[in-house]
Amino acid sequence: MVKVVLWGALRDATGGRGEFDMDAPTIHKVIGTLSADYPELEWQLENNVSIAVNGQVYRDAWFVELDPDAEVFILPKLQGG
Amino acid sequence: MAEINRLTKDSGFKVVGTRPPRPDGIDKVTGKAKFGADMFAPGMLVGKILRSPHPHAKIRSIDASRAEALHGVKAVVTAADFAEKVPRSHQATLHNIMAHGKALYEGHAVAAVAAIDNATAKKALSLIEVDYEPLPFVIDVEDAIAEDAPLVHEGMITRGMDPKPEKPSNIESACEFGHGDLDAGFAAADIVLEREFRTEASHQGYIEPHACLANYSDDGNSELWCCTQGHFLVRDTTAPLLGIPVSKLRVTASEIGGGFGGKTVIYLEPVALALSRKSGRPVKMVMTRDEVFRATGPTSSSYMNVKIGITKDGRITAADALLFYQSGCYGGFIAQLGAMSAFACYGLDAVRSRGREVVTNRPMQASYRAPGAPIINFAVESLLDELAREINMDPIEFRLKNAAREGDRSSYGPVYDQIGMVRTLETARDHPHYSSPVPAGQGRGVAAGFWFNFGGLTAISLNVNSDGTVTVSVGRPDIGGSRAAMCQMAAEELGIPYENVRCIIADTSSLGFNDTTDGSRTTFANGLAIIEAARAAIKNMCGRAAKMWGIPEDAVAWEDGCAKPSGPNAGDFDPMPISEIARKAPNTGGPIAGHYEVNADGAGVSFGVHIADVSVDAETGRTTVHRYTVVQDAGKAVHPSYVEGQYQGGAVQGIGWALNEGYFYGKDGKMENPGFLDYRMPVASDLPMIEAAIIEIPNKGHPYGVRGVGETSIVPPLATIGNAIRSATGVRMTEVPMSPPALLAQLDGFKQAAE
Amino acid sequence: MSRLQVNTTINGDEIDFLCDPGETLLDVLRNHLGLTGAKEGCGSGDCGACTVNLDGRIVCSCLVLAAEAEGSKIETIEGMADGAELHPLQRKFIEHAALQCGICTPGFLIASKALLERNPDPTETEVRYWLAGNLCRCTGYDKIVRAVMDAAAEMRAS
Repeated sequence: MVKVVLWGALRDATGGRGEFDMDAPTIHKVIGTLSADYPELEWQLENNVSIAVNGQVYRDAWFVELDPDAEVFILPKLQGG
Repeated sequence: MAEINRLTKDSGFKVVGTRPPRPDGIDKVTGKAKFGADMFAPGMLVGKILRSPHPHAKIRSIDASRAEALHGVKAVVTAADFAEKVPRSHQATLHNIMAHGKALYEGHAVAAVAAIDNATAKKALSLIEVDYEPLPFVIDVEDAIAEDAPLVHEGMITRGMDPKPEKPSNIESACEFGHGDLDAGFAAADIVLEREFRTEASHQGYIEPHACLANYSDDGNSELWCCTQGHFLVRDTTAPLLGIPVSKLRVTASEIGGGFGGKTVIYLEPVALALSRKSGRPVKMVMTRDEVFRATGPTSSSYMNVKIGITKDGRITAADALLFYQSGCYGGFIAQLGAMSAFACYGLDAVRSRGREVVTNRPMQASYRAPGAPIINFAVESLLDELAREINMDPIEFRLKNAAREGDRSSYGPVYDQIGMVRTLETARDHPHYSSPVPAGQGRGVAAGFWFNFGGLTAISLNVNSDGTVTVSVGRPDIGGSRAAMCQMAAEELGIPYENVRCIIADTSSLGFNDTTDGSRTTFANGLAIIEAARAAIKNMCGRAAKMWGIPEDAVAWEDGCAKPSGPNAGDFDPMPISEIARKAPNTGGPIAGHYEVNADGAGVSFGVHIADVSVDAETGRTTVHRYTVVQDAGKAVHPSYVEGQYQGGAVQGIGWALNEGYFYGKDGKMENPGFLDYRMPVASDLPMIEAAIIEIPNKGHPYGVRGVGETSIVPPLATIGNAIRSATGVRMTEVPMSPPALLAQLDGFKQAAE
Repeated sequence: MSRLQVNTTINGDEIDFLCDPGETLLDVLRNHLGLTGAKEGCGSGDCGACTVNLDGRIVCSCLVLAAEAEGSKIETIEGMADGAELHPLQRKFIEHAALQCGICTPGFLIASKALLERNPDPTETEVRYWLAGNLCRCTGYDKIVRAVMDAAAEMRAS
């Protein structure tokens, strides 16, 4: 099972729940699963997050493949200057 | 004098790692290069903005009739001239470029005019009558979070707090990061220190004010020339604000006179375009320096509380930070980034960082080189310095003991892969600066810092010209000399001379979308794409040679700019140079090009350690920096001179922020120092040479190991200087800027601490 | 208000122009004469990006009224190279990577040239104090100072 951790502000939409286990071969499936259960999250997940998979940060990559035991962190969208 | 320490060996690079002259150098030393304000168009009008004199006010009405009637005025625009509905992510921008019903800061744009010359435009502004109803305002971050603070946005409830607050406040959002058992961690500590820190806002201080030239055509096709860190972003943000499709707007990036994050947002562009649409003529707009300070995007100011516990032998058992970042009139993401970066240098079992984004009646903040990180770094690294003193431990050894290593869980969540914190600390410890005795009358300070670095959307095109030279078209403006690195990487991959490659910054109609030049990603992401595009072109050219020789494609190899048979069995042919393949290209399949589009990921994080020797004048409180060294990991320094330049430039911006830069507000909510005389940035006589030590720990995510370098160097200086001042005087400064009056107030007699 | 006619020599050429009494020399150079090498960074004489040489002195052209230039000899960045041959300072700036964004570069070059005309062998401190009127936000000044000192050495040797 892929472990998905949601950062603070997103938990507003999940009633405070921040950790999820799910079957998901790609980041896109993670987003889809969370959006199906929590429709309020959908816009944020599609536009406003960076996603770290086993420590490697991705900004918009939906089809990055996930190992069956991957750890996925959903973080605020990282920006620079 | 500066020495370059490149501490990893080159692995057979021929062009990467050398220091060729930059391709745009001659234009820039002869005055030929065209920056934002250097463009003119026939029939051009001058655009000017009317700005709110009040920090917070309802706009009851705007009467521009007298301005419109003035001879020479061709158009006047207000909020009504922009789109009503824009995508959610553009809402704040829409309201920031032109006030919608309410002025939220002194300097907020309220209306704009286009006229035949400067004098007429100025006169026209004075004829616009605005009926303001001033409202209570709030400027300082601590005032903004106080119980009875005036609200910037009525009814705003903090996002991200659990439980959700019932009362509206000026806290726009909250975030929390960390892991482990804090209570247990503090209980296990032998020493716990907790302090409050405060920093004032600073500005990126780019020497070139914002400028653009907009030309709206009747058929809707529009052209925009502007100085920006991201012309694709300008296009994609400006078009919806005017209600036109993205494809109708073609944006060309001028040369840019500094950005540092402050030009990753739009201010004038939609206004100039709206004026051009209304007047039917090109409109040029250039900000004054006063406008840049009052109405663009400074950093946050902050109030922070940090608590750290350590054992007697120097192991951090728990760390906790609470940051309030004031972000101007619209919240952003800076407090989040600050909270995420707060303890990122260290491998900790119990850590928590909580960020609060606070709104005030100040201009909306924008990124400034590693946004959010320098601020909290000042607090954390100052407190760590105090803790090291409590146990009489060398500050670098103390940090080594707690440094983040591969496999540690970062304080912001993900587990670290291979990283360079330990190596960077060791290099600093072994650097001649650190082992040299501290000169009499001076104090030494050390601090470490971190930045994420990013990749991003990248589209480039590489064309082999008919004579075998190569043109690379990229979509990220060159803000610091990156064109040289682009040419180097293309030349390296193709095996051709650096002089045979030309890099241009293409306009938005010529390439796919490119993210902005920021996030320390240009050399990384553009480079990755260029290398891939070069490989595609090489494959193509090997194919052409194979056809001409009548051998299979996989029997052809590429070396030193030539196609060669890959082995003796392949055939006995002389190497065919790129120039010959190019010349024959029309007959062998047409023009040869490679292109590559990618969402570049895999940028590696980078760490920096700074060392400073300073002295403080007891009578004036002035701090003099005598020696300064930057140690930072670059992955692979493509052009070492420009990597050193990034280290030096970021360090000096940090020194300025530490010692003198800040926004001063009067009781009337207006900025009192909107000019370079009183917003005091470092000048040449303030500084010594800045030693730049480049470490190379290759980033596995890039073919040449490149890591982003542009931002990390601004993260450690505030604390480095603060720690040096502590060494020199015994005084721990907890507020930035550590300016002469601030220092004098703290110095109670002059103490030279025995170090 | 009627415009004034001003006669000057700019980069060796006799140039006369019309200006409003309130226009600065910087305004005229950039907006009327096409010499956009001098830049407006602040408009208040604090950043030096508009530095030109006026009758042998470096001045902030944003603080000089165009009318004041009557009868004067002005040197701008556009006149620094000798045809296609760069001045040693220009070459050294490129060689030492003494520019990143390049906006302050024309001002620094004009100011540095004036220094070396007065003092062909300046110390590092003398270079830093002479250039204290020119702001650079990108480089931290290290490579600029090195470039000026290296150009001075080359010019002394020749």
